[in-house]
Amino acid sequence: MDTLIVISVVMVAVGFLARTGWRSWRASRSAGCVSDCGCSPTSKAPASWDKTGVV
Amino acid sequence: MTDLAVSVVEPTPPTPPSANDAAVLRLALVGNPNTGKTTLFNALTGLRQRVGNFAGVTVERVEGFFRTAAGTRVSCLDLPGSYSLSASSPDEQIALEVLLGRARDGWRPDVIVVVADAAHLERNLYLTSQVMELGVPVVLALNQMDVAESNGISIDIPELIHALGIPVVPLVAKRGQGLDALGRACETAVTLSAPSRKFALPKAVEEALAPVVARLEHTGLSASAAQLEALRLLSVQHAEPHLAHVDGLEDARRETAAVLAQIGLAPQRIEADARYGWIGQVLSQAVTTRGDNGRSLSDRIDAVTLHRLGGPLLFVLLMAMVFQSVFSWATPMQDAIEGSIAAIGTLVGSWIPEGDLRSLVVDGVFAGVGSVLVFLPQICILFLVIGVLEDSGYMARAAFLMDRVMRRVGLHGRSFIPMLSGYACAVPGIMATRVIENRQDRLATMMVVPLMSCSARLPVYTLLIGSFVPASALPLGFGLQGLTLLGMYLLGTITALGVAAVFKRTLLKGPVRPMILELPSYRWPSAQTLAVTVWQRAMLFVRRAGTVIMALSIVLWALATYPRTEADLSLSDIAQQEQQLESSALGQLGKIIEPVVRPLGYDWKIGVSIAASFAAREVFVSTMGTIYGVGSDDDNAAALGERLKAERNPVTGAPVYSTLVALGLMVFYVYALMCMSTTAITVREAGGGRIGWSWAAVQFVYMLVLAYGAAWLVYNVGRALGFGG
Repeated sequence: MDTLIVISVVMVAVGFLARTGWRSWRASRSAGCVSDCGCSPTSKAPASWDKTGVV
Repeated sequence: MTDLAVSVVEPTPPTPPSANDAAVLRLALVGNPNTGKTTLFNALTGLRQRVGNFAGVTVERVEGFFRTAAGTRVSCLDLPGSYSLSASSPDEQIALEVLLGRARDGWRPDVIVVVADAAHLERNLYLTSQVMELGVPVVLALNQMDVAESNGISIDIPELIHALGIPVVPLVAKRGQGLDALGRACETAVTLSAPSRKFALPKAVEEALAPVVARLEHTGLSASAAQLEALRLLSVQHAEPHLAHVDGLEDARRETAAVLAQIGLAPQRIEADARYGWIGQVLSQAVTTRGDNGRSLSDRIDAVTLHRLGGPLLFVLLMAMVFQSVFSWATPMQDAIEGSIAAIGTLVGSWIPEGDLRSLVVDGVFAGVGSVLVFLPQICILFLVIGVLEDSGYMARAAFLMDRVMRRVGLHGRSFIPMLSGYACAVPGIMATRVIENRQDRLATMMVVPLMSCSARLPVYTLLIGSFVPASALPLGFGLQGLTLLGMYLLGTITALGVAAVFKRTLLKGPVRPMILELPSYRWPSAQTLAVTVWQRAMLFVRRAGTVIMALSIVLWALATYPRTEADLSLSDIAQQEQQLESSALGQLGKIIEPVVRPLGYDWKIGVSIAASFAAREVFVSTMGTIYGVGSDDDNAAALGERLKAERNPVTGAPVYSTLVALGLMVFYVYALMCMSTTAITVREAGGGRIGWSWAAVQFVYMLVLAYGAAWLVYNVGRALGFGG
């Protein structure tokens, strides 16, 4: 039983990584975000731009 | 931060209403940079924000939701900061499209709120005067009234309302003052007719513009909005693709430009003169300034922060304090998290019988994820301190100080922003290069942004510094650990400038263009803005630890555990664990990698951790956590640093990790591009296709060569000089 759980968990982890890798690849070819930090309001370009006053 | 994940950040506790919900008041926030627009947006919406991209373009779209005191539901769109509606960069253009109701997703504002800095009203009224011509109700939010008052500026609000003909609301957004009044003003504004232009352009200009205006009116724009758009089209030299379908527009635009040139009129100059003439009248009616002869507090502070010698010195001192605080303040919280994770790991482990499942949970999940999670306090402190510097207005001074250096290496001053963003994460940093118009400058900046130490490197640095650099105290309250961390950040930054200089003198030659910089008044940072910033960064970190890092930890645990071999019972327990680890799939892979990393002083465990961290840098720490979790016989999931210190070479018995090895490893991480997301974004932003891939390959290879070479030098030169290792 334990072995079955371990195998299942590892397979789910592999599947999750494959899915995120595939999504990242797909996003690199479109207008979407390639990572979660690319869409953060605190790190977006316009906000940083605002705060430095560079024009 | 680096990662594999693709997601749109949605820190939205309550379900936000749909943007197309008819019962929702749609509000667009516009304003000059540095007016506190984002502070106001955060104050109004809190964490009820939704972040994504504008349809069809890669400009970020931040929408928030709130209710007014009267209960009206409001959908609020935070548009990129802009000095005028004469849009030239992609983010300015998208702001104009939204305000004109031409956004592809159909979002049209019911009310436009112009956020203005009360201390610099003249410049802010320029944008206000343009927005007032769009045919949409407008509210003027006069922010930073406290700064204006302390500067001796007195604004007669009723008189200003009278002069402008729109609702005006005084605010101090960072303290939440005036927010209810702003909500009421927006509710009232939708019931009023849209404002109109308060001044006239010279008759000759109006007549020359008429053919362009007539064609734009056919697209549904009001007369005043069409005239504003006509003036903009004359300045951008061509009609954008989305206006290409308007019959005869491009011909009319060219004809008008020729007519105006013939009679010697420059429309932008005439427009600016007319607007500022009217603004002067408004200010003379509504604004009085007392005792303007003395220098303001900001000017007096700037005398120190921008001093030719004192400025850079203060900058370095401030940065040293930032990195020292990461160590000094984080230790108690880190110890608490470390202890909690170890306790929970032990407790959970005691519920599961001895076997692979228990090892998976304790050595895989808890040791892997736990070893990364303990660095949460450092991440929070770093972003808190950087947030204070940003929100106080100091970062604009830092940009000014850095501009001299930027120009020397051949970069445009605007490159400072992407590089600064790179300290958080290279992905938004590379995206921020869009604000650089020149392609050579943009590519050069893109190539070096990943050299700025992102937050994903912080766990690697702090693990190694905390374990192998003594916590010796130095004068002025600094410590050796904090200075070592500062050294890593400086190394990345200085190398980035050097590499940019090489690119700008070889592959990406081009002239250096000047930068215009606006220095905002100093102000107290907004507690709410800081809290939102730190919370969002912390959640990103925790989410990554709970998703990508956990999945990788589980896979690496499996690789470090299987295939099972028969234990040699004559060996001690620890030796048996070590034998099993070495014969596992991960161990065998490590042995293949080992010859490559051996010249750097690394063993197979470090080699395999480096290889795993090509997915994301923090994975180095979680992989080490998993390897040392699997290779030990206790259930303590945390305290990875102690395990590294105790690690011995099985042949010589010498410590595997010395200060020199740790230093070389950190230098490797300063330089190596170990982030798939960064490569993906470079491919896209460098032009996509073969060109994008070529630049991404150049970036990856030069950084890897730099990393390997520098780590080799640190280790071998250090040993030659007798520093051990």
